[in-house]
Amino acid sequence: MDDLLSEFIAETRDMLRGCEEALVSWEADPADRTRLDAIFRFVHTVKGNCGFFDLPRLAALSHGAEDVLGQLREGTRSADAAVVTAVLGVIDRIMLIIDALDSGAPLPNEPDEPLLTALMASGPVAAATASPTACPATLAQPVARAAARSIRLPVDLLDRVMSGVSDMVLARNDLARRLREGHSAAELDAPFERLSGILSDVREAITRMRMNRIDHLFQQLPRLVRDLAHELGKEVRIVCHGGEVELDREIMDLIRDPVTHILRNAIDHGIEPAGDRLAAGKPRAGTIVVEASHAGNEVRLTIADDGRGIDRAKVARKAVDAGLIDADEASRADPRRCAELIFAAGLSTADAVSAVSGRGVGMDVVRANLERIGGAISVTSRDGAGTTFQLRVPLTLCIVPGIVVRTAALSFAVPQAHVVEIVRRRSVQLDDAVVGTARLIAIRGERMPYLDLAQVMGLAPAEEGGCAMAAPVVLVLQTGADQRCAIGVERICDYEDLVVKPLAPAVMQTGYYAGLTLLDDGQPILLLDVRSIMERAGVFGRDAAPQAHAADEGSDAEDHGEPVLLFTGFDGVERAVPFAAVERIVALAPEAITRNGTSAFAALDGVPVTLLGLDDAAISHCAIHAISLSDGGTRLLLAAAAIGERAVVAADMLHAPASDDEARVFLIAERACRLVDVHRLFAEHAPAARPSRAMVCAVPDDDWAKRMLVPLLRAAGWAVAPSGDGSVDLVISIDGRAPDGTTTSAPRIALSSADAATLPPGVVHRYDRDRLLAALAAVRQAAA
Amino acid sequence: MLFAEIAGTRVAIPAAEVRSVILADNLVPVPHAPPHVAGLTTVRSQALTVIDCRVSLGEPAAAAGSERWAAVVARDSHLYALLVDRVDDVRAASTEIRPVPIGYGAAWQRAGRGLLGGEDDRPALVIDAAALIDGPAPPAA
Repeated sequence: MDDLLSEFIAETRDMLRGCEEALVSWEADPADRTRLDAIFRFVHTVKGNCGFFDLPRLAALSHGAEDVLGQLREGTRSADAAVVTAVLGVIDRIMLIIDALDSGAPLPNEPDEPLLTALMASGPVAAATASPTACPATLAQPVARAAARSIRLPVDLLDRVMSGVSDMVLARNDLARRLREGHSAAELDAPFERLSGILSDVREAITRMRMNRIDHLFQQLPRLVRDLAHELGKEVRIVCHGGEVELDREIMDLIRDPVTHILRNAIDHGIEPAGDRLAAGKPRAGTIVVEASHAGNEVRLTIADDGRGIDRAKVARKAVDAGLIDADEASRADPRRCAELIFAAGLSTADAVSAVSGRGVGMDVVRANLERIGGAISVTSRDGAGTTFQLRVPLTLCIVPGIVVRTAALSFAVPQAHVVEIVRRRSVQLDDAVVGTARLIAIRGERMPYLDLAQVMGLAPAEEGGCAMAAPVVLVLQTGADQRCAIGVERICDYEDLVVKPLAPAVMQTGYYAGLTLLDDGQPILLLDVRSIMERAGVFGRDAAPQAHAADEGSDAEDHGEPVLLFTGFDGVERAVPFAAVERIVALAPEAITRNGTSAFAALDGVPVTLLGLDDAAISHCAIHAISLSDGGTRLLLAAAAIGERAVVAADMLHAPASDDEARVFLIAERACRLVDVHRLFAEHAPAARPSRAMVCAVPDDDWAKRMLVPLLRAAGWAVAPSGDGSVDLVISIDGRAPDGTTTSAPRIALSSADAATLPPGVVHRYDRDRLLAALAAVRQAAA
Repeated sequence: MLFAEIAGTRVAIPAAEVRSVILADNLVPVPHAPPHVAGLTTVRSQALTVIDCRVSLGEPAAAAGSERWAAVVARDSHLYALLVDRVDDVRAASTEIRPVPIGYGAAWQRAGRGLLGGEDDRPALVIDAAALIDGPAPPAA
């Protein structure tokens, strides 16, 4: 019975959430019958379930809501804000009771009657009395939820894990048998490979189990926005995109509060009252766009409003008042730094603490919470046009890609998400400087605080005078949206997916570590909490002034031009590539490079990436450096004989249209330098993005089609179906033979094995690959 | 009861708390950790935090480098290995636990729970594993 009850509670929660979203969007458009039907069905199901469990209060409440919704459906009552508020009030009460049931707390004992009468009474007067009783109750009492958590999973996922585990048992048995019979190592490889393959399948399935569509978070937002907007007398619309993005359930819980807080701020400070908006020539209602997307191993969540933007002067003034920066600094700080100030501790721009913002957490807590889970937050603001927050959170907490570093005979792991760049002192000129007790390092013109890991960890004595900065490898770490620092280690051991395990409290309290992980040899190593280490070392607080200077220099330069990275190719020509496109610099071992005719590929993070600029001479090199370029999705590698420095070229130079194939030439320090046209590179070499939906093509059932045609079609991004029924997008016939059961009116391509010269127009010779591909592309284009 | 010896004192740890007894080797040191945390080790892919009981009890740490026996205990879902100098035996206690009649050092008293008369008439001090894990200083509030 308890199981059934917890299932009921979980299910009801889900359903009610879905219901809220539907209610709010339906309020915006009362004519939307499908929404109303959906809500009615939800409430009806809840009512049925309540009756089954003998929960009379819930049954009465849902019955009341169902009645009203039924009247709305029949059209005997019209939908107005009052009705929606009353229904939401009932839903809130149902939620309260559900929460109480879940945690085993006594049921809230406010009488339900006022809610029900408000529901039944038509007209706004009665509803107005209902909302004050309903809303404060929910807002004031976030019932401490009981620890018992349950999740609902698709059965096929569970089946995949089950079958994966059975496969693993079989593979283990096979391996055990071979081990027992004393097979040679080579014979053990196959079952071992199989075991590894199955394990990674199972791991992926288990990770998926922890995943949840971000819709779950989005569903609650319209209601929140609606309530806040009502409270503040503003008109706000919320649009959510990317609800299908999946995120770890744990992380979803952790980002709920930050997202809520940002929305609160956006509505309270960002969106102007309707009058001001009209005066500014904007639509009456403000819009908040929430968008989620995958980016590699992380999820990006963008929250953008079209309000007035951050009042930077005010932020700066408040920051000065709070003693965070001095007035001189405030006047010099560039716009971005100003906007970032809202993340500083103890800053509130609200003149009066309203009921909405100014309560609860500040943006500093938001940032701290995100960083605790390895995420980051940044903000951009345009005056009068709106504010955009970008949150980046890891996909999952359990397994993170990490870099294992070694220093003073000890290994540590650093989350790869933090690492921007790995610089070897041998290959890149580094400029060290000592400022008092602190050290600064300049990498390609960017100055940042530097720490030697061995010293931080107390493994090496602090040097006298701090002249020798011997650590051969320097990791550049992103510790904040605008904050970088460098850490010196002895060497990089490995890149690995690290399974992070919790640390004992005594070790956790030191503040240096984020967790523990086991290497493949079973050796435990510590995962460094990079940001906390930097804070402990005092590099940020103490060096605030030098850092600001460095930032100023950088921004001055960026005003006049665009930063580029200089490098020398294997043809001996010095070139420059825009810094914005550079992802990182990698060293490639010769065995990681594969040549295929004129093109070369290199394995980067386990995937093949096109490698450019490599000539035959480079083959003899033991390891080469390459610049990894990224356009956000695709990556390209540029081979380089030597990596140079960072420079700045005039912005108009960069964007001037290229006149011919050869990249543009400019002068840098009296040397002619060619600028790589990154746009052209990606246009030429990036693999075409796969169409979002595979088009389906029907082919006749014969050997030639199977052996020749199907691989060609698949390579072109088509799916192949055996029969030409209504679901296919294209039918291919060969020598007049169409696929079985061709009934569709989809376009056709006729292939023939007859002599190409004798073919009628419109028929393609079956080995005329170019014409066939062109025909396929034409069909795709017509369908798009 | 698991009977063992720490810095010359015979101690008893309730056997129900002890998961296993291991030979702790290949300790990975943890820089900046409290002194009684000797390092980390693993047993069957499970990470253990190694506690040097001598330090927890206010005694000088044993010479490093030697392999030492450790009792594995769980606390708040974390596993700890308590380093002891020698493991004697596991057997049922033959007598009641009696209060210790004398003062025996602040750090020892924090961990001590009473005296047990051994069958060979050598008394053993019953110690609380949780107190050893917390270390010589009370945990920060």
